Amino acid sequence: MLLAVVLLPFAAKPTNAAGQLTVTLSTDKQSYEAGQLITITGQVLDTNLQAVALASLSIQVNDPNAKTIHIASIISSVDGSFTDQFTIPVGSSNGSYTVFATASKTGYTDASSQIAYAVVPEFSTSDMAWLITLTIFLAILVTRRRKTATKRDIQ
Amino acid sequence: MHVRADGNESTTTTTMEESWTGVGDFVLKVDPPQHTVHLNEKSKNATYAVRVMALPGFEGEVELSLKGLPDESEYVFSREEGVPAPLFQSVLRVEVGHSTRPGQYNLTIIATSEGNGYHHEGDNHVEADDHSDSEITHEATVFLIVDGEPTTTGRHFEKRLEVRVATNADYVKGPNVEIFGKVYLRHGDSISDAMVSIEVLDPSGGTMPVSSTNTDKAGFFSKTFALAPNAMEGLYTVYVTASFAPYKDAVAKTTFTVGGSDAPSILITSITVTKTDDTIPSEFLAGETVVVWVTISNTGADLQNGMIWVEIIDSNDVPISVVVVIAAIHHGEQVKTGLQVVLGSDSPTGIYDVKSLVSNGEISKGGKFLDSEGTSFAVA
Repeated sequence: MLLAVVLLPFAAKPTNAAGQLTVTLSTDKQSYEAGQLITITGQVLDTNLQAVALASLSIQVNDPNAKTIHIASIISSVDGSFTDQFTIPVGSSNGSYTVFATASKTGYTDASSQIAYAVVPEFSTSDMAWLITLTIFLAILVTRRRKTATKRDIQ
Repeated sequence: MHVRADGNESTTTTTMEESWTGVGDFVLKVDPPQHTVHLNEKSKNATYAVRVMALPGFEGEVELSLKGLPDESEYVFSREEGVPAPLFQSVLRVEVGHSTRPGQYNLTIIATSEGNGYHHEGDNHVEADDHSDSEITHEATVFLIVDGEPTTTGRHFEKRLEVRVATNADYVKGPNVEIFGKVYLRHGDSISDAMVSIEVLDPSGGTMPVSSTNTDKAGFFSKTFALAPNAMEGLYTVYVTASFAPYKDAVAKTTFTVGGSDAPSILITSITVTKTDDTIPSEFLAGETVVVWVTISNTGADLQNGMIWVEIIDSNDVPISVVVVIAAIHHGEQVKTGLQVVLGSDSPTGIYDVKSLVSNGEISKGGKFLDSEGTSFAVA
């Protein structure tokens, strides 16, 4: 029996000829208070560490309870860089927040990255005044105890 | 009779006294003709009723723009676009900043229609190859008087360049693809004569050359390019970069599909904000529920477990809420969904932004956004 082998042409499909993307991610500080502006920056690079312009960045920021508090879709600049900013809502939970980013561009394989930042309790002026008073009080207390201990040693 | 309109851009200036009668396309009216805002008062806003009346035979969509906004001020239309059938109404709300210089400002409201669906004189049908060539523009001017002493305290309205883009067909069968959009300042003036560079990536990531163009006086741009007869099937991505000194360049993208595609081709075709009773108010109040309606189409492969996100950003640029729903959007489907957000009882007044995005999963799990769209509303 003669088997006829028919070679069917394959439909042209997008390839990943340009390679794998890499995305870097950073925040302008490690910790923030509610009401402060957070700036997220990063860069999209290819396998040769060359900047990738016009890459799409998908950003999701989750709070310590994994609830999403911010999303953004931005496009990288000519030098592959991108920036996203938002103000941390007043009343935000304290703890560790995570910024997730996915970089994508036609012809490349997507890249993901994440970074964490902390939201810490806000110190008001009155809080600061209490803290200073408490520090002075403790300092005086320690000094007096030392003096008392020295007197005891002499006796 | 079939009439082609090549290079016919019609522009008229509508005065306050003009009646609703006339011939042609539509009539634009804005009332009242003048508003005064006092800088020393807590409430520093002015509202104008904008009405667009279609004249017999006109069936096109009309989009509203504004020029002449004072520095340090913002504006929002309760409805930025609509089809006058026969009446399309919107409310223009201008929020004047603390540091706005006192004086009289001429606000020019521009109503633009692409002319699609415009039937002139009975059976005559106007059809155009190019978006800008068939553009119909009407303008109305009202006055905004700002008095009092400006201060340097209070919120600074950051003006940044923004651009949005779409194509004439998300599923292209013909050889010509029309790319059009608008350049404007965030909550500010439309930008005329901005340079718009266009880049198209084919499904393999190859760049297709498309020359640049400039925006017209209402901030719109349009460019048509031809696909090769043997154009690769799949998802094409269009990037537009808008440049206008002294602002930082703005970039936006959209997609279209040629033939079949193994990737979803998602487009948010509309985003509107209503009350729970489906009405579009000129402003919301603190504590009220805002319903964001998002309409999405998919001309590519099925999107299983798609996620439709809405983020609300208050007038102080604080993201106050992110809501999400999961929905499958199959090939050829159009999905409309409403997401509710309750404004806090202590919500600041001003102009709020709404962002809607569609993703193929959680970004935290490697997903990505496939399209995004935005709108604004006022809180009084």
